[in-house]
Amino acid sequence: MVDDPKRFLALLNGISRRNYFGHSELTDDFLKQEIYPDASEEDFCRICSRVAGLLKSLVSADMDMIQLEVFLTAQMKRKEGTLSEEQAASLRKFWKTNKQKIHDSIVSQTMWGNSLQKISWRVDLKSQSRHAEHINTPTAIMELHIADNLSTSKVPEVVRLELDETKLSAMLLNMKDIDDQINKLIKS
Amino acid sequence: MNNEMTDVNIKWKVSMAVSSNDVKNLNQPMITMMIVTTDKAGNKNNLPIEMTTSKFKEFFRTVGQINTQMENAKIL
Repeated sequence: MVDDPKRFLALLNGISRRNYFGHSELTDDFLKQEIYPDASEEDFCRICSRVAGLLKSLVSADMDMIQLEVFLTAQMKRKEGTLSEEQAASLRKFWKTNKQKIHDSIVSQTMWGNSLQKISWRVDLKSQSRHAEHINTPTAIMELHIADNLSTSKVPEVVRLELDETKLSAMLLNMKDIDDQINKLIKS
Repeated sequence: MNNEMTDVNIKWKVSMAVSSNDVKNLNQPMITMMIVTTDKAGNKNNLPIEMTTSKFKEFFRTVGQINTQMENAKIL
């Protein structure tokens, strides 16, 4: 009963949401009630810590699918707490869809500074001006919504920038440099 | 609220997050941008922002879009 692959998958989802996505309302008691209502306390505790441990190994090494297969084979050969074929299949399925999501969630949790939450912008055209040279000069107005990662309750700070063409293309050029650097890093 | 700037400067660094308490193999590029603005009165304001690559690419795309719109606006 404890080996039911559907429940195993549900438990994987529950524990990963609690441990890596901050859903603290998914307590052990809650998970037991929802997924294994008729299991003994002891059985449930065992499978719970087993699942948390498996997840931790996958997450910590950020395993790719080849590493996962090696890992699963080893787990299925273990004498104690052997992983069944069905459980291995559930884990494979789970990891395929959640690997990136979990990794991204953890990465965003390691950023403790400000983050850019939203950008609003519009382009204005100055069509009338005392100075003739201003006619038909476009201006970009950007609003950067900057949020504090540590205190999510705080209202994001809004910074308004007004940029003319030269400044905007300078900014774009700067960002192009950053983009090139990132691409270099990802390749290597 | 007077947030209008007369000058905007960007300092930046690209770093590589290698490892963390949850993930041994983190290997994730991180972008830190310092947006230095100067308002009409000449006051400088530093604004640091941290971003992952996907967030940065989104930002980059947006600025690219604005640039295109500005080009188009000139033709009108």
